[in-house]
Amino acid sequence: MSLFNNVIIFTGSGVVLFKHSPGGAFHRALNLVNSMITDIFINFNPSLLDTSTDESFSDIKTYSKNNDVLKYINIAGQDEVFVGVVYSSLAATTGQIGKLNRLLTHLKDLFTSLILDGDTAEYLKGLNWLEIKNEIKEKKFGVYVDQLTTKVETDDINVHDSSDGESSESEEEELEKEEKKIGKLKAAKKPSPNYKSKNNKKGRKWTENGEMDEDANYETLDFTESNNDAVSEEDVSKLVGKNYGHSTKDGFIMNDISQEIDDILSTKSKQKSTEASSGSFAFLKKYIGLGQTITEETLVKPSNAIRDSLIKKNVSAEISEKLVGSLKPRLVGKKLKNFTSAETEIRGTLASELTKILTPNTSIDLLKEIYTKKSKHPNNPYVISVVGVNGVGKSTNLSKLAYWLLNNKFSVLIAACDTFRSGAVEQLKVHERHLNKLIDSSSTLNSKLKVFEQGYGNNSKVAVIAKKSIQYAKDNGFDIVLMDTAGRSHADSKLMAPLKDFALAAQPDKIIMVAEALVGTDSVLQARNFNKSFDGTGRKIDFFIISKCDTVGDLIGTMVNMVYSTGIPILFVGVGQTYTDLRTLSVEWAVNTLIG
Amino acid sequence: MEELKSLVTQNNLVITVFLALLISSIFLIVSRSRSGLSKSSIVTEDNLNTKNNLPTFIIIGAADSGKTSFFQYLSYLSTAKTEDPDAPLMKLQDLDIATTKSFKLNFDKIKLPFQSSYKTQFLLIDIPGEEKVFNAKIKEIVNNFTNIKGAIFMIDASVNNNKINSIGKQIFRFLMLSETRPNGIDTLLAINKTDQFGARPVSKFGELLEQEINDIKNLNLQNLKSVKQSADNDDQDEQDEILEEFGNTNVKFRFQNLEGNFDVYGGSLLKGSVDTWINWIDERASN
Repeated sequence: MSLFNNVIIFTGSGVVLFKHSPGGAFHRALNLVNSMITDIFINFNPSLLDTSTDESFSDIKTYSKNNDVLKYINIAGQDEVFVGVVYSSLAATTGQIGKLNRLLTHLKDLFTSLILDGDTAEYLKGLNWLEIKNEIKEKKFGVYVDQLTTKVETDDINVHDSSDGESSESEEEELEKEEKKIGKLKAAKKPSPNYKSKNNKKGRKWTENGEMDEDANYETLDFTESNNDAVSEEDVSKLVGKNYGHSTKDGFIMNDISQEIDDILSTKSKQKSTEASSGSFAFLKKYIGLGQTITEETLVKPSNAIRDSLIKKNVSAEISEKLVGSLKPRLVGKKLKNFTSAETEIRGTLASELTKILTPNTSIDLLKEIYTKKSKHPNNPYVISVVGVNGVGKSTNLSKLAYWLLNNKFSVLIAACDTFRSGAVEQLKVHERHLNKLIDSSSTLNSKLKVFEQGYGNNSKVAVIAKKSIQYAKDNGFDIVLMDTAGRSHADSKLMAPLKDFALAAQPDKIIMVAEALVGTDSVLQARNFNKSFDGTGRKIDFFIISKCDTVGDLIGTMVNMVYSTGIPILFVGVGQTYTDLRTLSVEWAVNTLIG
Repeated sequence: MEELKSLVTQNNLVITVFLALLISSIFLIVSRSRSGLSKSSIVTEDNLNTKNNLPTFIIIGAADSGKTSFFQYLSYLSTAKTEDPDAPLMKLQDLDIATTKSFKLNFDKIKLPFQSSYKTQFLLIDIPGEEKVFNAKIKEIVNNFTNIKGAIFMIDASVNNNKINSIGKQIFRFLMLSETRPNGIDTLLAINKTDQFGARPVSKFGELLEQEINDIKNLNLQNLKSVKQSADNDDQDEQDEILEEFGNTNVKFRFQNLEGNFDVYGGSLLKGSVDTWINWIDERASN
């Protein structure tokens, strides 16, 4: 039984750099990777990930779906390249999962030293994926992976610490040796021209006890043949090391790579750190900001400043902290453009991050959906209900929505499902009167509007009115039912519980939560609790309407709070008192307002 | 008199030395910033928001239509044709191209035209098709890359009706940006996977998409305007203008009425029948 089905190295931009599929079902593995990318990197839903409790494997993320598990680790750049293993959760034991964690970290080190020559972001920038794929083929990465897997499976990794007394060589020598070896490997293999070496990584099978399959193609691995003049006898003995016990030719080769893997894994921590050269103008550069590199220290001050400015814009402290914190790995080590400060750089990165958060993942096209439903079920009305805390403007925004829909030649029924607050029904009646006057006075509005009400009562009445109003709309040819609900405090579970029954009874096509821009940091909890209240109905809030945006000026942090904490997009924003003061959100405007 | 003269020459000397110092330091600074510039001319996702006038081709389209595969194929083709123009090309299957969903962009510098020995360098960008990523990135790219020679819009020929709507939306979104340019952006609607069972005939796509975009346009006219505050939103105004321009509900949307040229060619990456697309790119590259 193999430890895993598939090993796959892929980039954030969608290129599969390497695949190794001993368990088959590569397409299934690919699907798993795709759904991980959708959930984690496109819809930003990190709660679907498990992180290992073991400190040393905290970089490893686990994502599972239908008994398939993907463990992955970011191996280069900021979300630039990943390596992942796919296995079935049914077959895996705790011990095996531990081994997989080790395998992943080792794969990361192997890839970094072998393919990226020890470094990461800078190296990646100059290369294209085609070159890296070639590199992977030329350096026979597949063979290393095979070998590494066997080693991990049999717990046969000799990661030796070269600072121990045992080895007298200094680190530099060790490194030099390392480089020589890799160089030699390169020299030993004639670099194969474009893609012609496809066969090379095939044909090797390793059985569980580390022996080689007889049918394998030995030639591709034969390091001894072509290095006739490049490598002297002495070098070879160095290359093999102490494990030179297996005397067969094949055994020799096996140990060669095996030893090398050990070496790579041991020396990985001592990779050369590229220090920025301090030229004669270094002192000047520091003052006028010529090509500085961002470090953790230089980030602290501007980060704090930006975090504070976000908090001042009404973004909650928790989210500001997270947002600014998430920028750090993207910025550290980056070279500043001439004449820009670290702060401008952070702002730029933050702007793109905010844009990502606020841009909805499905385009919001309510009209399209209404038309689609109407064409499929001409008799069934499209049902929209609004929920929210007391006094945020549910009824007001409902009437604004009604006016917009009337303008689009729909007939609208407003169901008064707020049977609790005195005056709620009368308020809707006022809107009805106004809107009907507008319809009469305007030649373009030839649709109809009516309020459906059955007075006041307790909670059980709400579901009844909801059902009856839908029936009424069916019978009388209304296209859309807008349901007003009672405002309730999100912190009171007794008040929140009936929402579930309401959702089940009314089966609304869309649930919209109205929240006010004024509220500040409480908005995070509001959004979370309202969203949670629909648990068990298979529903969640579809959109937000953020009301009272005209009252806050540029303090629109509430929007970020709500979208960031729930991932639910903003449908409209309310910007004034009249029926026409409803707008769609311009992400660009919001981001500029927040950052500026 | 003599004294005065020496004073003058002394002054001259000081001035000359000062000038020499000034010039050399300016030279040093400039040469430094030059070298910095060449480094930063590597385009990555982080510097999309700066103006760029490299000649560029972009690959766009819905998710899973074959963009990243085509990107890799073009990369390969560019390398292969530059190294040895007459060498036989590899088939796609042998190139071992597999892709996952993308959430980042792909960049490469390719040498075009493929079928000519006088090549120049072009930037090739592959933009993820996932709506959320696409909407954010396409704006940055169309607004900042001033020299886009062409856009390759990949479409899966076997998509069902529901997908046509989202493809229409994507084209619409692209047009709202590209048509603000004086001559628009030339676009190839590359209908991929024509070999698949259930693929629609290529000739249908033009009409189908025109109808869909027409509907979307009308819906957009009915929709609410977005929040506008103060003057920092010229961009939005411009878009509204364009919407009004081809937005008259009485005039049906047609690709041929646009500023940029639209061509529809079918092909199949998997089967390697992409000659029409390659020719299209070559044509745009040599103009």
